[in-house]
Amino acid sequence: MSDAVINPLLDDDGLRTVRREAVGKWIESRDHPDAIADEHVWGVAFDGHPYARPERGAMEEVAGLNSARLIAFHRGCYRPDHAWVAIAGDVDPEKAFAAVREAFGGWSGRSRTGGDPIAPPPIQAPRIRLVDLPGATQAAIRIGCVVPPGDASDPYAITVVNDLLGGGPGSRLAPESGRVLRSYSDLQLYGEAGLLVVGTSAATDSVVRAVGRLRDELRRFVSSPPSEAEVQRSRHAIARSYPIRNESIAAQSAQWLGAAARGFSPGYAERYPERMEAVTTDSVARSRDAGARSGSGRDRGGRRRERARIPAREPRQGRGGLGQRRARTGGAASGDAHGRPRLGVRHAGRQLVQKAIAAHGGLTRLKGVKDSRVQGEITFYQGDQSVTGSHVELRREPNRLRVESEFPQGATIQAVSGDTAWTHVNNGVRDSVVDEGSDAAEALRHEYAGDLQHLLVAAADPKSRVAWRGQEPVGQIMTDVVEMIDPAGARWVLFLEGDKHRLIAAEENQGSLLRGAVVRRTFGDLRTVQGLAWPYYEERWLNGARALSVKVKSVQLNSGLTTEPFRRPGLAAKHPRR
Amino acid sequence: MLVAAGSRHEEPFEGGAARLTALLLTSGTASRSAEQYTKEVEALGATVAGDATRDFATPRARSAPPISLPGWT
Repeated sequence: MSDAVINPLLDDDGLRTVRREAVGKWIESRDHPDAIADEHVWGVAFDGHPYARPERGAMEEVAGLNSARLIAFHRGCYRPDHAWVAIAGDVDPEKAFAAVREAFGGWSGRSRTGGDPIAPPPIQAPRIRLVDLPGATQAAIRIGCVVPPGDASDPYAITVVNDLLGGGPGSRLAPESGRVLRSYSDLQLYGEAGLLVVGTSAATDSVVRAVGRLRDELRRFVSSPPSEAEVQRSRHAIARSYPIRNESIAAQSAQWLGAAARGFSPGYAERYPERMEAVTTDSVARSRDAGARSGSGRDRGGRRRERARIPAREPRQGRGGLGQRRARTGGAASGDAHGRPRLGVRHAGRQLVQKAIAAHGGLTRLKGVKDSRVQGEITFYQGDQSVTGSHVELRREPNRLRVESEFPQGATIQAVSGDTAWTHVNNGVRDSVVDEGSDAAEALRHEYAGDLQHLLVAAADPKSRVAWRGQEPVGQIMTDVVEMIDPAGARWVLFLEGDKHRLIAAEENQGSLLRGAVVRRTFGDLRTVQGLAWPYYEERWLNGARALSVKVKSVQLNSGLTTEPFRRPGLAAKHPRR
Repeated sequence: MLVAAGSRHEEPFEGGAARLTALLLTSGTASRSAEQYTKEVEALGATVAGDATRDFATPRARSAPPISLPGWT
């Protein structure tokens, strides 16, 4: 590792490879309003500050990089006076220090990165940036509030603010999760400042309403501040979950490194829960007000408006056969004066859903599935790496789901039964059951409702709202895009094969639990099981990158599954979560 | 490991240099070709990777392959 850090081979061949991939991902992200909005909110909030730059660089800059520039960057920044090393594991400290001294002892030079931190620019008035993405059916909205340097280096109160506003379960924005408008807040703290972002996504014909609701919620957060009880509940939950979130050695070393690099006291990580518990209602109010003063979320005069435009591009195929182009029809033109889909597109959506139901075996058969057991092989992907294991998924009406995954490194079982959820982890060293909180239970219920059968049954429910949103390719197949708000208020986008009308993909793209990530499921290898067209292959894509795949080996329907597998095992709960 | 080599340290016309440099840390060194470097790391049963955020580059090594905790959510 030391050789790689001190003497990397930054040649043109290697650069071409990583640059091609970086530019490819950048281009792919241009079809995702969420990715574009996330990038621009930093640009607007930190205009004139280094944090305004896209973390991965702007495409035109990345395309123009050569090995000489990388070598110059490395020479200027990779120096021992601004570097920190942590080793965590079953190691002898003396030997570890000796090894680091030997590996890095010859490293010398001074970094160009020293100097005083730059304060974020003062915000005179809220700034609004509109990014035009022709053809997009979905709009992403972000309101950013700069977190002043003081709060960024003393993160406790602002963390509670984020948790109460929209970052945690039970937050002000959370009641909207799972309904038509799913909103969230997210806090990112860096050395010189941070950014608290409130965000949501909405169909392009509902943007005005979505912005209004976010603005109203922000105003309410100021006019009806969190009570002592709310603050206490939040700080206690954060403090309690901190050790759990950092129980792995990788997380612990990351905490230690972050604290050391920012000049925090050596006991920062150990004292974090105690300091979090000391957060008061007053300090929360101060942090909230500082953020509100620096933000662009308040509707008042003197706003500065900017407008950027991303040109429409020709359709293309995304990675893994997933077309990412947005529908060319529908969108803004398909809504009435109140932002509701017009009757024509609602009628077309309903008809397409009926055809899809018929193509999959009919509503009676779909509703007749009372339990299912799906067994197969699951593969997780992360960058160039993947890990494959066995996978079993059990469902039983109503609202019972159990997911078993087993890998050479360990096994987990996650289950939900109504409002109760738990996770069982066994990695050979630790064998424990965790009682999950309401957020995880909701996520698992969402998972339960997200298989092909439940999506189709929900779409056929008269209480669901469906609307045709145009056509879009998924891989080589042109599909009809149908937007659905299910009876529980969750929003889905269904992709139905243009000729056969079968459901081949579904997208949920406003999930607060994934901070607005676009989650797309694709269904393939449809085979007939008891008269139903059932997928034997599924993929999940997060923001355009494949996250996992499942190859199904067997499907059993209505085998008389009992409620027993969904009950929490009797092991002691080591880490009860909120 | 943290090195103060994040995107906030990029000079004009260096946009993206922080991340690409971090990614290239695993593509060989001055004395080891990419193939040789990969073989030596694999022989240790280890992985080496790099990435960058706004403030820091984050080179990291593990003595065993990283695993993603299985789960659907």
